[in-house]
Amino acid sequence: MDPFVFSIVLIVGLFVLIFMRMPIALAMALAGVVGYIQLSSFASLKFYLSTAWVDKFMSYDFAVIPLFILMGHLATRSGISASIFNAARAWIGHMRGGLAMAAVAGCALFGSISGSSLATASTMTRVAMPEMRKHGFSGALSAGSLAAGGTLGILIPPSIVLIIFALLTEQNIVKLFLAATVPGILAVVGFMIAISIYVRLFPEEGPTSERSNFAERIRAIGEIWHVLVIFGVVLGGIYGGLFTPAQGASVGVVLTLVLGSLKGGLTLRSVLDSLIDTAGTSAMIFAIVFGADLFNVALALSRMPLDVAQYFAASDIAPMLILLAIVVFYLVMGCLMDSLSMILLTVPVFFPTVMALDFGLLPEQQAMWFGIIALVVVEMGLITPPVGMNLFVISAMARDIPMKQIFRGTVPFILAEFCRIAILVSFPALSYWLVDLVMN
Amino acid sequence: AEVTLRLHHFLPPVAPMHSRFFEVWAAELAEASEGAIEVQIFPAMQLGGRPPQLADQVRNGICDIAWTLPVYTPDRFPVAETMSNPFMVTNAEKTSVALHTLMDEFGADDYRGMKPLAFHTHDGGKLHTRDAPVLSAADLQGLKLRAPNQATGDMLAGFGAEVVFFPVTEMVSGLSSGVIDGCCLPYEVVPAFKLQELTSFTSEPAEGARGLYANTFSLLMNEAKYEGMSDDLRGVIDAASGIDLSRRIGAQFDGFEAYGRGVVEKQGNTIETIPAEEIAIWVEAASPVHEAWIGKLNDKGLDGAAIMARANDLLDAG
Amino acid sequence: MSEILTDSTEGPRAPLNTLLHRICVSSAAVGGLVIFGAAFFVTFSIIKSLLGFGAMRGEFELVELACATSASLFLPLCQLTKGHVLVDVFTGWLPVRVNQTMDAIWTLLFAIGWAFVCWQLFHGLWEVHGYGDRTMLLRVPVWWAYVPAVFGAGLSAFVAVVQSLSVLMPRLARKVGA
Ligand code: NA
Ligand code: NA
Repeated sequence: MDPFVFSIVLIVGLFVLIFMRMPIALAMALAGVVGYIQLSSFASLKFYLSTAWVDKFMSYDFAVIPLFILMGHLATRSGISASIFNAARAWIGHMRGGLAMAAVAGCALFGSISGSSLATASTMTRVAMPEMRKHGFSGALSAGSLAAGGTLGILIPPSIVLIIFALLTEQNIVKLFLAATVPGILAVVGFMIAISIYVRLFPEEGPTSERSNFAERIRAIGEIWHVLVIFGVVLGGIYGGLFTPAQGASVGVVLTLVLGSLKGGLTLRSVLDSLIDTAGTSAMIFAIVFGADLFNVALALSRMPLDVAQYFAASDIAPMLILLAIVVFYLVMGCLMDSLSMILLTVPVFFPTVMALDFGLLPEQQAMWFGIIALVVVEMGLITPPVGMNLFVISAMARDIPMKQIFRGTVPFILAEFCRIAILVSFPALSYWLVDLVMN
Repeated sequence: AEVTLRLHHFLPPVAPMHSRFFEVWAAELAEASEGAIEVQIFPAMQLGGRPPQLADQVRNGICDIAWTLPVYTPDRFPVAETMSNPFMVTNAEKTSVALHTLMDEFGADDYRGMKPLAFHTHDGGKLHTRDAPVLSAADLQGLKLRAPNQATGDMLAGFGAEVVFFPVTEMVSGLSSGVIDGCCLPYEVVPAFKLQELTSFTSEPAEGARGLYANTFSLLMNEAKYEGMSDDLRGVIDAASGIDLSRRIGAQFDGFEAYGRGVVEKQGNTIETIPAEEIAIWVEAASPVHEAWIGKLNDKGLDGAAIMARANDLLDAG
Repeated sequence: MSEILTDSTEGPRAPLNTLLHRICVSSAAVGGLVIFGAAFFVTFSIIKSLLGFGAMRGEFELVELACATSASLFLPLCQLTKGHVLVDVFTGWLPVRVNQTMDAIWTLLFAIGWAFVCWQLFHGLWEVHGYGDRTMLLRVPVWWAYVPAVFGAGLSAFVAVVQSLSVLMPRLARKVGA
């Protein structure tokens, strides 16, 4: 069979397996094995497997992943999310729909020290959901704002998905983190606007609550100084070039441990639990990365990604149209799959294709722009039904809210996301000017 | 094509080595074989694994041809690694020819199961620094330097430099933040990492003196794949490889070096010369490193002193 | 994922399950401690370097070794707690029994996969051991990193076999106490 046709068969087969509830890591590995044997040989597959696992993960770059995950789980277990929410609430809680806004702001703040969306959604739900419900917020608005806010966990650096994207495409992690900052702020602003419009349309769903006085506000900020210290030292150190990302994450682990036990509720037991949590989350990621690697090698052997990239580069189709087609593809797939698998599965084909197109940007700018767009679009998949991981997390934690209401609650935020994607696609500079400003 | 050869290397496709050597060489092989040989190039480790594995990948047939560095797997290819000691390299072309000859004479056991197509080096490393040029051993005292390999690191540390072994990507952030003061690399890699913007001074050894260090490279082919080809096609491979290819790649690296130096000049950086007398002192000081290397070769059952002497003869004669 | 320590599988657990659970959790905990230790080592190295005493030698290598070790030790727990991501929207309408059987078949495939990887890694270990490859600065034998990998893949394979057989062949499973 022609390698190109074979690779298409392989991809179709892969999706069939995935939709038959085969674990994604296994499906990718299996497709990879079949491709590898067909395009190379069984003997070389055996050799590949004799070193691939150790070789892949005996890596300074990959170490960033378990380190940031551990830092995030320590932060989750330390209970600092409560003081984060209280601080946000003291400042903006009195506005109409203020508690929902405080939940989003809290998610943004928590997301600045955690690299995971699920961790952000679940930890903030634990503290913000009961408060919102107590103050008469509807289940839809409460769940929607927390689900949307949770996506800030991977959008606002540190971000595991962004680290994976950087490793896949050989881009600079630090620059990508910086690049995500403006789109992250845009997301927060967009969610706030969505909430304020929503509560004007349905005032009974998001009432106002009591206003805090100035002293209370200052005190509330005082309660989260340690979060600000962790964020400042870790991300500031990385951006300032003082630390490598792995060093920053290591310092983050130690700082979160120390400040979490001094200020929050970290006990020996909760530290141990964090280690076990880290194992679960990391192993899931490592397994997918391992499977994807095998699959991607098979794809590379077929030369398909190269052929596709060359085809589109030489075609008359407008580059913007191709980019939009990719965005639509991500949106559709995002309804069905999780963000990390999607990035691992698609980037080997989409990245060379996009890089071969002429948008009038420098290669590095174009890479960051595409990375941010891909991140934002797959991140949106976390809140789109039927498969939205954040929705599941919230549904599991707030059993009294029917899934239908949760879906309804996400609508305003999905609309806000569409606006943001349109803005980011139309103005590429939003995704790289901060990098140019800080690094060059 | 009758034969498809998968060529695997670790550089990104934008690297000059990829666009100006591999692609050109692949096209030449296709032409010389009238389309019977197709070389598919897989840059940036697309076939998996990490750079240190490339030699094993060739041996095990994961790829048919790989371009790799012996220093990635310390002690595995001791004869080839010899030229990466401090103060061996003259220029890339001459050193590559000397290395190839040395491998023909002493290195047969290094590459069992593989057919070496070429051996080469880059031009000698230069010291690129942020705050002050390095003109003497005294200037190295306390300087935080990123070393390119173990032996060169040992030598620099011997002069009182504080040596670190960052990967190149970490080196870039280290230089921009001032965590390190400089690095030791040839001009050839300057453009890829925008080193000219991160440093202000470059110190190069005086004309005619040996270079600070150079890494050695090998272009290797799977032996079974080679043996399995028809006589005609083997002839095409033979004609496109060997000492002439080593000379050619070396000469190309001298070209990359000149280009990189131009980039540094254009940036307006200061380029200083380390005087020949000073280099002589450094060479003298590096002799323990060379002695240690001879010992290492001896441990491998080789005649270390003979290999080292022959390498120096070839380099001086070149 | 937080229910891991307080296992949620229904009914009283058979001895083999309890034992597997303990081993997997211990393995994960050791992996977590390794990453934890690496974080402390790196932080210490940074502080030392900021104070002007120079970084710890081999910091990069140690982090690399820690990453490979923990990745390997984390694996079995993920297998045991069915932590691998899957898409279930298209099969939700099918009877529970069908879904369970499908899962069990995939888990059996997982078992075969991990077993094969384990066997190959063992070859890899032997080969790297034969070459005597060591890391550049710390001179740590590289084959050390293969030991947890062989263990992690092997244990994952065993866990997956037990899990899938206990669904596919319940009677046999009861006999071995799974
Ligand atoms: Na984050
Ligand atoms: Na979704």
